[in-house]
Amino acid sequence: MARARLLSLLACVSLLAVAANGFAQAPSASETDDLFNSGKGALEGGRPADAIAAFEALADRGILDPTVSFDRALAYAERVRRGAGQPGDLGQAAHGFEEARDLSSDDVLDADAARGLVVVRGEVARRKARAGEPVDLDKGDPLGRAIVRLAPEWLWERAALLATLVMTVALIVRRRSSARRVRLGAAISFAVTAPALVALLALTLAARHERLDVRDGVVISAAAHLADERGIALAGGATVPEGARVRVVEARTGLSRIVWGTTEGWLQAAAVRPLAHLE
Amino acid sequence: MALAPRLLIALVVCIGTLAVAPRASAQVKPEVRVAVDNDVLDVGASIHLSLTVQSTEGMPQNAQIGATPGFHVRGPNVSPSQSISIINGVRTDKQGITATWSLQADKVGSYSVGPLTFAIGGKKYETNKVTLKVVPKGQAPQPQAQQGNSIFGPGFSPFDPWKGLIQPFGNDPDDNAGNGGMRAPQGPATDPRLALDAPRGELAFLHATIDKPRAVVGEQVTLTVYLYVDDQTSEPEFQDVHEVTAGDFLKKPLVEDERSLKLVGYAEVAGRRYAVQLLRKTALFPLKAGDLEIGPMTVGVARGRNAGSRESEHLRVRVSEPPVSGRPPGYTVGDVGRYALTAEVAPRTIERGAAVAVTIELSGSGNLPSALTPPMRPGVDWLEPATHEKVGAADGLHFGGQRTFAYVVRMKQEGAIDLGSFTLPYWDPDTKSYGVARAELGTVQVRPGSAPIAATEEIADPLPGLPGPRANRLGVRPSASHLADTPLFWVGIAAPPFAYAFALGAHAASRRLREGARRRATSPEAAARARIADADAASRKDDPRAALAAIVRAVEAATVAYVGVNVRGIAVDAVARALEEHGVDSATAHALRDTLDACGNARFSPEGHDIDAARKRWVDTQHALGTLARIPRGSA
Repeated sequence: MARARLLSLLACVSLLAVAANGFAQAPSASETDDLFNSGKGALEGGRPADAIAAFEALADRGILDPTVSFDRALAYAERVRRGAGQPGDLGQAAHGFEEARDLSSDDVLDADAARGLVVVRGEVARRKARAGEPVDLDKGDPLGRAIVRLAPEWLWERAALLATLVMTVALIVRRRSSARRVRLGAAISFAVTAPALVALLALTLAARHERLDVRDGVVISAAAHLADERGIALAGGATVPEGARVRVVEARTGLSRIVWGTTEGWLQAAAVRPLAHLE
Repeated sequence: MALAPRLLIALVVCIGTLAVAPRASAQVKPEVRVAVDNDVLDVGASIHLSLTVQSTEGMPQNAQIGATPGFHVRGPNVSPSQSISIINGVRTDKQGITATWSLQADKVGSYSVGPLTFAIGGKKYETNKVTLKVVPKGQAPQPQAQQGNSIFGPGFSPFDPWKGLIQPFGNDPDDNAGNGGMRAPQGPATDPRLALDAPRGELAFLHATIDKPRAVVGEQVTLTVYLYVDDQTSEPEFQDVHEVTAGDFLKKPLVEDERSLKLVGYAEVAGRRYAVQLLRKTALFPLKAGDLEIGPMTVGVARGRNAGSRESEHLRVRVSEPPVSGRPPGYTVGDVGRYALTAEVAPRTIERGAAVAVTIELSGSGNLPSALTPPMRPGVDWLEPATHEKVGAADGLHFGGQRTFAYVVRMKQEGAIDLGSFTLPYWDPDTKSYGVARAELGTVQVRPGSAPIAATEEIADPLPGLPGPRANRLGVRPSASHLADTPLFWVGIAAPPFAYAFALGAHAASRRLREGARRRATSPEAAARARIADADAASRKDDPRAALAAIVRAVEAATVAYVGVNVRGIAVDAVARALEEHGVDSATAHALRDTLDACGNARFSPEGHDIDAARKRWVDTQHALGTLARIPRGSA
């Protein structure tokens, strides 16, 4: 009896502890709203530093919201506009716009974020040009990634399912039919759908890998020098421009291996801010 | 009484102190050190006074001791030196000399020696004077033991990493004086807090500790390195010092002069007494989260068979970030300690276009941030601040101090301008909570002035065309579910072709099974088995004619099935030979021939039939047929 009571007490304490931990970790809705309103008010009131503090506090708390990212980008951009920009502010602004685009399902916000990106990257390019540096800001995706991104993952999945069905039907028809023309048509269908199935499966797997394993980030350092895996700057002084979107394929203590177009190398981890991910 | 003057072999009198260098003010000052064996000596005794100078401007020359009242002087003995250091890719070449004089006291009294002088590149420098006290014979502290291996005499070696500051254990003058010094001849008590299970090296070793194994980014971790020296042996010599490596930390010394050693007590280690000196006390501030390593400090012991390197422990600190929960806006990871902000704004009333001075004083413990973010207001320009700091370890334990930021703030709009406030959020590791240091700046009255209004001096917008802010949160797009994440998708991909392949295989297998069954049903073996069964059944009945006929059919079918000989078409006499030619042994062949012969004769005999004879015949025939069935196929 006493043992049962003790077990019940322990269970209650455990439940309370778990609940308390959950409450402690998750920011309350009112706290989130307060921070957002505070940031919004600061941004509208011409106090971008305060707005940045509020929006970054939301990011620290793990709040994913395209509006928060968008307004954070505007706050960094506003600080630059007011002549009080800190190093990396343009990169932070680009990061916010990129994140807003990734998180948003709203076409208008997506278009506005794209416009903001153009403006911010234009300023980065202008500064680089003024410094006599190359202004190549967007190297695009490598061929493989570009092909994978031609269609959404669900389309590759469904196409693969269709291909496997068509291939199987073609095999059955070819075997069962006695009509020569029907058998020929079935043979052609099989010849087309079998390699298509292999390709579609590869694309599905690649898209899934992109979704689950690959992280993108934005360079937030005005001088992000590519280095080798020991952190020693590469010969030639190759740099990745501020605001560039890169793939982070590996992360170590203090260093991140990135792919930018066809360029690959290591950057200081602090120079790349990862984009929020929904998965 | 202070320890150092009496305990040290060399007494640093003056470090880097230059009294006269009027024409050299624009240059980098040379590093100067004046050392003396002891500042109190017997009349008639000798001491060594050395001057060490290092400079990046050229080789020091013409070292002079200056006035030496009351002493007889020999020397100097001058030794040149050169050093090259590369820090952050910047190479620094230094040239230097060490000049050593021997001074013999002539009479009792207190004397000022010097100032010592030298010249670099034609410019003359001089040091402070050195005060020496000469006492009647026998009243001075005991002279130090001769080191014997230095051309400069006892207590000084240009290769000594401690710059002559290592205390000579076993030779402490206080030991003999018995005046409460650090090391009494009788053996002072050991401190159990300094005790270790086992020595980490012979004669002397290093021992490093940290005050906490876990910390947050930016929190002070105090690293202490002790030098343990065996108290029952004479002093070893130390060389080749390598500092602790802690690349993931910001290092700040907690003791003013790391070259001087401080005896902190005695420790018993594995039954031996060790003198324990504080070698390093450093505040380490973690720069990132993770398991961060602190590499060992090493020092070489140059002494006979005990020579070798001594290494302190490898240490590790588990570093995390302060909790997100409750984190105030604007908090920067690394701001850990306890901070306070005060502000001064002057004047409070100005004309438009003029500026006010805003002085922010940041004070507290921890690694004080090197920059603050000014509050931005329309029409208020904050220029880059001038920074002054006074940081260190006031109590020898906690790093801290104060840092002053002096801003010039231009006011471009008229009216009562609220400057806002400076805020600095921080994590207090003692209370495990966040705090915010705040300094309100108040309001400045800006009167109309002659300066152009702000609108006319606006610069071009560097980011034209930016969209406006959003007032309402939208929420993230719904996360799409993906078929590829479920096993059903992969089953769906593989199932149709595999099902088809399975159906094909099953169809072929069933066809093969049916064919086999059909083949088995019409085979000679099957026919033989059927005939044998018929004969067996007939032999159980009472019809001898039918039984004999069945036996004949069984033999005929068996010979066809088992040896491939159709005996029906062969004369009875030739049956045995035919069977033998197909691998049947002679006895069986003849038994079968006899069976056929006997059955034929009996069937067609006019005397009638005996069923018992037929049954006996069948039993014999079965034996022969069994032998026939065991003949391997293909041997015929």
